[in-house]
Amino acid sequence: MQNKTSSGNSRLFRTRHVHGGGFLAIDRYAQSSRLREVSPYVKLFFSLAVLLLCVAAGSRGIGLVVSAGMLAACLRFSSAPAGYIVSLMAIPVLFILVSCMVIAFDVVRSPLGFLDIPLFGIYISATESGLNRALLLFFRAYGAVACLYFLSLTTPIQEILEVLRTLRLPKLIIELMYLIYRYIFLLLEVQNHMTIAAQSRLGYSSRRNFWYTFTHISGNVLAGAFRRSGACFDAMEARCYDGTLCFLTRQPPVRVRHVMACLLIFLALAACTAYFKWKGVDLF
Amino acid sequence: MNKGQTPLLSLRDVEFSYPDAPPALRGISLDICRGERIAVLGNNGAGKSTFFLVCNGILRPERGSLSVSGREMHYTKQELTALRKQVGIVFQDADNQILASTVESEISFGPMNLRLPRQEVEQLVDEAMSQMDLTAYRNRPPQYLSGGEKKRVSIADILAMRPEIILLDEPTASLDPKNTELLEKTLDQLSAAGITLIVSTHDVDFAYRFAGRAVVFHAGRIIADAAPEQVFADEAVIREAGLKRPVLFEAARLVRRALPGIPANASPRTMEEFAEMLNFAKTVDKSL
Repeated sequence: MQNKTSSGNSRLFRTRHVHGGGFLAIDRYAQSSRLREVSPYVKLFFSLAVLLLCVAAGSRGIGLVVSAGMLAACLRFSSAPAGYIVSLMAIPVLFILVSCMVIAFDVVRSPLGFLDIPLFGIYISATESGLNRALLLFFRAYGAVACLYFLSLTTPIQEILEVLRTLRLPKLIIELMYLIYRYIFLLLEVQNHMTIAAQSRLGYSSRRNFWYTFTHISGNVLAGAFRRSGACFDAMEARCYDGTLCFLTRQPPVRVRHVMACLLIFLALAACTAYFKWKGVDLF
Repeated sequence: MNKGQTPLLSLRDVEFSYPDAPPALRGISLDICRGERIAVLGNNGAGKSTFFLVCNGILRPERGSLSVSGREMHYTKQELTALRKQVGIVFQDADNQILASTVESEISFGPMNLRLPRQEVEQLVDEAMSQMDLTAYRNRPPQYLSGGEKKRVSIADILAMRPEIILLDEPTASLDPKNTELLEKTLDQLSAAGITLIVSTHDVDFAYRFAGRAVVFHAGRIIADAAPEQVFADEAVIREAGLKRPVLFEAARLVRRALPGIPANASPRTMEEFAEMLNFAKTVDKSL
């Protein structure tokens, strides 16, 4: 029965996504993920533990395994369509690649690397050690991002916050996190409506129009955000909001088999790391 | 208005203005008694929404006073919490009100803020959900429900706090006819359950069907406060507030004029009552 409704939900979400859910859809997918029955504590601790291991291991092999594993887990357990997950996962690649390019190149006085670009008497050269560093950084960073994607695609923000609250994270940070998260969606929606309205009046028909429309919409989104935040705050106050956001959440209990599964995966990764360190090798 | 009863909520000469704007409320006095069904009419910017925010203690009047069950508000924290528990607002735009990412936790926001024990919160939320027919939506994200469903969630939000008065700010504004009909049924149920309802609306036909008392706002003042038949019969009020008359009201007037057999005070509010009036006319005038 549970399965039936959740697959029904995901189908509904999929059809809605076509109308431009974009980034906004993450929370909906998290809401209907196949790991809904797993306690958010387990998911959060698992993701963070693997993330820390990935960053601390200092091995590009582990980074690759974590990235691939988390991608596979997202594909397996998220209710989001595969194309959506892959396009989501592709976003950080560009950012990380750009940073890695900077790391890969050194500025040196004499050509030493396998690729040297002369520039006013010095050289910008790509050395093997630089390349290794860049590769390590890439897989480390990507593995970490993949862990967070796994968490956000399988755990609704509210449950994450509930866990952070019990872990005694400062109240202010939790409130800010939640409100920012909530209102990003609202602002994007406003922006989306205004863009459509502008398009229908040929607001983007030329480059000059583009910039004119773009700046005006940005300004209006800001003004709209202020108005809207006022209205939202009134509505919160009307329901006795006194500075602490609290909701009734029914969290699934921590189950031994979930913990064991997570522990097993983590220990396997840790053992791999230890083996690589001991032998002084890497996966590739 | 029952004279003997202490009004649940009572405003005396309330004035309020927003910064850099003409006064929004200029001396509002109004008594609201238990079980009333009040329609608040008036054009845009007449002060209806401001009036609602004052009733709930979101805005504090600059002059004048607000009394709850005969006791004047001093706007202490306890008083405000008590007032907001007693008087709930269902905002016009449900998107501004909806906060949480599941229907259940959304509805729990009010009771949780009242710091009730978890068990009681669960019970209140369950009751509000079943009252608004939302139980099947428990784990759905409210942001992505349809307009009518969102409206039901925003009403359940307030119901879960067990208010005595519910203020609804233009509840029919974004609803299709079918959902409007559902909403009217819901309001009837709430009213039958003893909840006092104050509804602001531009839909005079709905107001005429729904309300036992109509209050007309214009430029921050109350220019009429009487039974809907009386208010809609008042030419001066209608003109000043830019109101339209309900279709049934106009039709009944025409019928009364055409058929002298109908008593002058007959003012049907629903199609059924209108049909009844015509039938009555038939029995009086055999030539029909």
